[in-house]
Amino acid sequence: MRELGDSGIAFPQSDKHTPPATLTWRAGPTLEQRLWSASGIVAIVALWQLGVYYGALPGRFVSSPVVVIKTAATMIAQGDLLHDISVTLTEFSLGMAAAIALGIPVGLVAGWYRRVRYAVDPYLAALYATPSLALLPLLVLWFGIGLRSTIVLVVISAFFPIVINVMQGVLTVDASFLRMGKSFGAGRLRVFGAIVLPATVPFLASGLQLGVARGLIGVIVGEMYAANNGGLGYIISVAGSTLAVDQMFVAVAIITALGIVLLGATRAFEQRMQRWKPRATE
Amino acid sequence: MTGAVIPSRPAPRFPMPISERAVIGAISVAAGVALWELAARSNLVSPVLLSSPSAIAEAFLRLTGSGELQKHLLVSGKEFVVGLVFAIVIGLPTAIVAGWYRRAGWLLQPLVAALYAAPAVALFPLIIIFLGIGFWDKVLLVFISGFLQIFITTSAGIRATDGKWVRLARSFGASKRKMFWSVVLPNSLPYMLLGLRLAVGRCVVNVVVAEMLAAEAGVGYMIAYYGNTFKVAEVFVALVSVVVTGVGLNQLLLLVEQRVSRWRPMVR
Repeated sequence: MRELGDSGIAFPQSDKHTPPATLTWRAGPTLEQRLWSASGIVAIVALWQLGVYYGALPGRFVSSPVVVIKTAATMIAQGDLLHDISVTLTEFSLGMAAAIALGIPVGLVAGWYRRVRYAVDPYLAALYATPSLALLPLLVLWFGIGLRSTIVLVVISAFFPIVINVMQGVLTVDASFLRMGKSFGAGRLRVFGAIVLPATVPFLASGLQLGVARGLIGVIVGEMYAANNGGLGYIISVAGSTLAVDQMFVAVAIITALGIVLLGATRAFEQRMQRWKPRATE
Repeated sequence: MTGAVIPSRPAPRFPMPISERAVIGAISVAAGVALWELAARSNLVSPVLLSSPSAIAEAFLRLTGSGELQKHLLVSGKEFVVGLVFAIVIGLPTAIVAGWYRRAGWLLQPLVAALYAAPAVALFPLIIIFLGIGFWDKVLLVFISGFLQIFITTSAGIRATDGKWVRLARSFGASKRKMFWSVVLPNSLPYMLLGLRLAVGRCVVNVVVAEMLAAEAGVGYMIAYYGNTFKVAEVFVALVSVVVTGVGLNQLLLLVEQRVSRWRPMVR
């Protein structure tokens, strides 16, 4: 289920219910495929433009591709857009860095010490099930309007997938490796450093993938709800209340591009790490 | 709550009625609740900001007693159900077509992937411009988020048919139509159910967030309204009701998934 991206913990045992994907086309996209893929997007853009041009669509409400591109150029020229992008990226990367820095140690400790895991399990399960976006009004109360609420939201959104995956990684280390380490006289610390830690890396990668996806949603929604000094989500909410549909489309397009790039990068990283991992569960 | 579940590991059934896990877990939760209550009572942290378990329990009784919580849950529930039904009714056939006909897949996949990469909520202000604030704007947002999830998972399921079975069916002379109905479609059922479960998770979140951003009723509205008026206990009540609903639906669908996949022969 790994390729579906959002199924939670991408660890081998969770694949039990789903059949193995064997009939997938491994080869890269053919020319025909590329043409079809491009034509879908081109058709939508063309219909949108022509529809507005010939008055079939209300241009005031749907804007048009040409207007959107013009608006994007003006926004870049005025320097606002780059500022907003950098605000969003700053919030996102600060939040992700904190989530990673907190999530890895907590996940390792909870995975390694059984009693610690029993103690934190109820909290992890409950908070992981809580939609972090719904915490926004509380975060605004606690941290005020602005950067801090959004960063905390990113941390909360990304922290739990990372913790839970790292914990699973520690838990699913092949027992025979542990026995081998022990029989070769390695101490607990050495076993942890040499066997457990490397074995959790692929799981960390899966957690990161999910964490980045959630963190991205967190940063945008956080800005839509609680920003006061810019950001792509802020553009959307301001443009929404001033009927500036073109600006909204510019922001949505940039967010989409960001999403594709970030998710693609983490997915590539995850697959690279999966390849490294010995297939121990078979 | 994007549908991720900690898969229950096949825990060895201890003969002891009480496991160490349950004891430590219970102690830990009890200690957490007690500490929270204590911190609020002793004014260590402002009770206005933090609330306390007892205040939340009181708020729960008050909100359910007056029927306010039920009223808002019903509003959100309607938006959720209508949006999800549209997402299933339109999403499943589209996904099956895109999975079965390669060209349709090539045409639709990039569009869906692009929409899927951005958070659906980012489109909400746009939806409001089209539909206004009310019932149908939330329905549309729920529909979009549910549709994308169902589409992606189901079309992947259709394409993931085991090659062995396809060859088997072909060598027994199955027509394309027969192949689709007897091999490909049943085989993709677990994917459809997984897609449905993930979609439900996303839809719950999106209803709540949409109501937080712009609504006059609903659980999300409750969360935002009581947050703005510094009534943290009420916020927690609404929040918990969202979590309980989400977890409940998720567990229910997980049960269905497990029940349905039981007939499946173990592959490998």
